[in-house]
Formats: sequence, C-alpha cells, structure tokens
Amino acid sequence: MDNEKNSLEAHLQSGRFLAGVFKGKWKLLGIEWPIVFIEIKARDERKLTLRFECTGYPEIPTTATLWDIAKQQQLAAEHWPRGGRVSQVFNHGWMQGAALYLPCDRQAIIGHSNWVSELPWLIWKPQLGLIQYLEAVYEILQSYELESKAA
Amino acid sequence: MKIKVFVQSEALDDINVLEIEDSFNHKALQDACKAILPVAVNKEEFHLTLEDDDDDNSLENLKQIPEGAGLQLHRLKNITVQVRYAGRDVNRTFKPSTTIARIKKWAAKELGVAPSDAAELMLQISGTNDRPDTDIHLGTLVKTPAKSICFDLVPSPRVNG
Repeated sequence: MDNEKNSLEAHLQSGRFLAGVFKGKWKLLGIEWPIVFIEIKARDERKLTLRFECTGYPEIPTTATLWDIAKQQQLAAEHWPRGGRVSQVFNHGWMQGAALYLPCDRQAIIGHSNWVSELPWLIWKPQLGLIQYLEAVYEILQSYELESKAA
Repeated sequence: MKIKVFVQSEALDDINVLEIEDSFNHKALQDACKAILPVAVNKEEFHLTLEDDDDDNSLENLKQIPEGAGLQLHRLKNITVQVRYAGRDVNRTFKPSTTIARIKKWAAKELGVAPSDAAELMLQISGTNDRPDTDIHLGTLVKTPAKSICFDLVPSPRVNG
C-alpha cells in the first residue's frame, strides 16, 4: 500500500500535474488513501470534483466519479455536465454514475477491448497515471457541446 | 522568494518542476535549468526560451521571473510545423517553446475552422496515435537532428460502445 500511495504522491508532485494547477486546470483537494479528490475546471468556469479510487496505483487503472464534497456523496445526477460527447463520458445512467465512461477508467474498460485499437491514446498508461485521466476529462470539459450550467 | 517554474526540453522525458529564487538573473536561471539536463548532452548547445513567446530576448529582459513560468531548453531556434486537415495543409515555423494549444489555435484560424468547431478537434502527430497534451511544447516532441513535425487535426473522441 505504501508503494501505491508513494507512486500517487509522486505523480501529484510531478511537473505535469503542477503545471496544470498553475494554469488553473485542476487542483488537489485532498487524499484519504486510496481516495483522492481533485477539482477540475470546465469551459464555462464550472468547477467539478472528481473522486478517484486508486487501489493498485499505478499498475491498476484508477476509477472516478463526480462528488459533492459538502454532502460527502456522489454528485446528484441533475448537476452532472451534459451535452453531446460530454454526456457520453459523464453518463449518470451507466452504472448509476459509479465511474466515468472513459477508456482509462478501471471500470469502463471492462468489456471494451475494442477501445484498445479504436482509442489507443486513452488507454491507461501507468507512467502518466491519474494525470492522463485528468487531461482526458479536462479536454472533454472544454467542448462547445457542454451545455451551460444556466441552460 | 522561492518560486516554481516548469522546464521542458528535447532532452527531458516530461515536464520538470524546478524551484528557484524569483530574483535570479538570466544567467542564473539558465544555469539552474541546464543543471537538470542529462550529463550526456552538451549543455552549451541549448537555448532557454519562454513558453509561447516569439521574442528570443524575453527572458533577458524580464525584471522578475513569473511564478509558474513555462520554459524550454532546445538546440534549435525554430521548428517547421505542418498541420493537415480535410485535404489541406498549413505550414510555418514556431519557437520550440510553443505549446500544442497555440499551434492548434493558429492552425484552426489558418484553416478557417471556427473556435467552436476547433474545440472538437485535436492535434495528432502524423503517422502515430499520439495526441500530445495542450501544455506540451513543440520542442519536447521534436528532438535534434529532426527539425520539423507534421500534425493532423483530427476529431476529439466520442466514447461509445
């Protein structure tokens, strides 16, 4: 367990993660091993909290859901981002929102061996770990298909 | 006061974080950055430049190094870039410290792609499956003796079934 936690902390101290913090893309909210909370910013300035479960890190992919920090529970479905390809990834109707529908997610990859050839750059890479997941989510949240919060 | 800067290079695998004094002059900054290069390279050949800045002298003219500054150490002054999209291509040279985000923005504008449409596109290195993150510098991808790179502007993924 110590090795797993140390690997995670090394990624959270890496230049790639900290550069994202300085650019306002994301920030670490806290670690309650094996859980990590990271806030990520959408194109409309909305800030969403990702709750990562990191058992087996980094060899085993992490899995994440949206989280309501104040209520200490999964973010209610009506607050999930939606619109076009955003809704495909933030799909609360799939597994009751227990995981994001991304090839680099531990739960989503199960049964989707086709993604290895179709979306190879999104397959989990232990050397990038959680940063790869964050980059993928950040890219999706910059989509113009994201419906604004007020809509 | 200690500040963090982010150093990329053709000789480094990833973005490196470096803690330096914000009062460092250009020479001290160069020395600190070059100190993290592998011992096998000739450090004298590397130029230090500021992220997304076309002025070679920007760092020399800075009174104070900004916290979080992005820096690039590279042997080349310029790199030739080609971006292909929908049967067309655009070309120009960029500094090695140019980010993927800036190259994409330039290419989309040159190709007449609206910002809303460009948000659904990504740069992929031609002939590979690699889609570099937007913060990555051109110089991190192009390693001497290569002097050029070609990207395809491709649709962002739609994850289904």
